[in-house]
Amino acid sequence: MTATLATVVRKHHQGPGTALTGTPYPALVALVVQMQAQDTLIIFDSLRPLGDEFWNMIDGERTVETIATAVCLEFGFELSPELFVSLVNGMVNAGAVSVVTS
Amino acid sequence: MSALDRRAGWVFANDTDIAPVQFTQAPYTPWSDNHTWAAYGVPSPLIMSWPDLHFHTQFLTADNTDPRVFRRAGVTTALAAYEIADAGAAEAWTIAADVASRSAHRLDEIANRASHRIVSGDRVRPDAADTERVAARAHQELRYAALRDQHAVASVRSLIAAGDRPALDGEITALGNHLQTRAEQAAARLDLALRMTRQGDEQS
Repeated sequence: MTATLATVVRKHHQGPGTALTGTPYPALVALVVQMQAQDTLIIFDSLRPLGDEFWNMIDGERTVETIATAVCLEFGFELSPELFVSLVNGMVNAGAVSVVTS
Repeated sequence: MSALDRRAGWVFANDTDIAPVQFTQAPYTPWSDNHTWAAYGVPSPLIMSWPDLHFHTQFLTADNTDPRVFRRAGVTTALAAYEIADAGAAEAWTIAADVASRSAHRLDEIANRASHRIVSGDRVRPDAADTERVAARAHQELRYAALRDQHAVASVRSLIAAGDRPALDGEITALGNHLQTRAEQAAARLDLALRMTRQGDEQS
C-alpha cells in the first residue's frame, strides 16, 4: 500500500531510529531538491533532525500529517506535509514500521 | 544556576582567573549523544561548555583541559540532577512555573516576530498572499507551541510521588490555562497587525 497524510504507523522497535530508513540516497537527494523549492533554508543535513524527530514522534496514534507538521514547526521549516509521505513508504517497505490505519 | 547571587555562596567564587560561567539556552536538536535518550522518551538536555577551542579534535588532550572547568561542569550537572531527583511538590511547582514563564515569552515572540514580518514586509513588498501565509503559519506555531508547552508543564508531575500529585494538579491546570490564554492573546495581536496592514493597503 501507499501511505497518505492520514496514515498512522507503528514502530517495530523502540529507541533510536530515523524516518530516512528505507529511502535510498538518490531519492533523499531528490527529496531535498523538492524541499528546497518550498523552503530555501533546507540543506541535505536538514534531513537528519527532521528524520530523527519524525521517528521519535511515531506513536501508533499520530497521523503522518500531524507528525510532519510538528517536526517542521519544531525546527522552523515551512514544508508541505506531503513531502514526508515518501519517507513513510520507505520505512514501511524496509520493515521499520507497519501501517495501523491507512 | 545563573540566577544565583554570585556574592553569596557562589560555588565557583574562587575561580576568578578563568572565564565566568554564563548559562544560555539553545533550541533542542537531535544532533548529539543525548538523542539516544530522547528516542527512548527520556528528557535529555544537552549541556555543553562552549566555546571549546579543541572540541572534537586531536588537540583535546588532558594537558589542554582545565580541571576546574570539569569541576564546574560536574557541580552544575550534579546539582541539577539532585534538584530533579529530590523534588517535592513545591520544587516541582517552581520548575513548572519556570517552564510556563519561558513558554509565555516564547508565545509572545512568535506573534511579535510574525507581526513585524507582516507590517514591515508589507511596506517593502506588498503581497497579500505572503502576508496571509505568514499569519497562518504563526497561528499554527502558536497552537503547536502552546500545546507542547502545556504538556511540558504537566510533565513535572512525574518528578513527585503519586500521593503528592493531587496537591499540584490545580496549579498545573492553572499554568496550562494561563498558557492557553497567552496564546490566544498573542493570536489576537497577530490578527490586529494583519487587520491594520490590510486597512493601510486599502487606504493607499
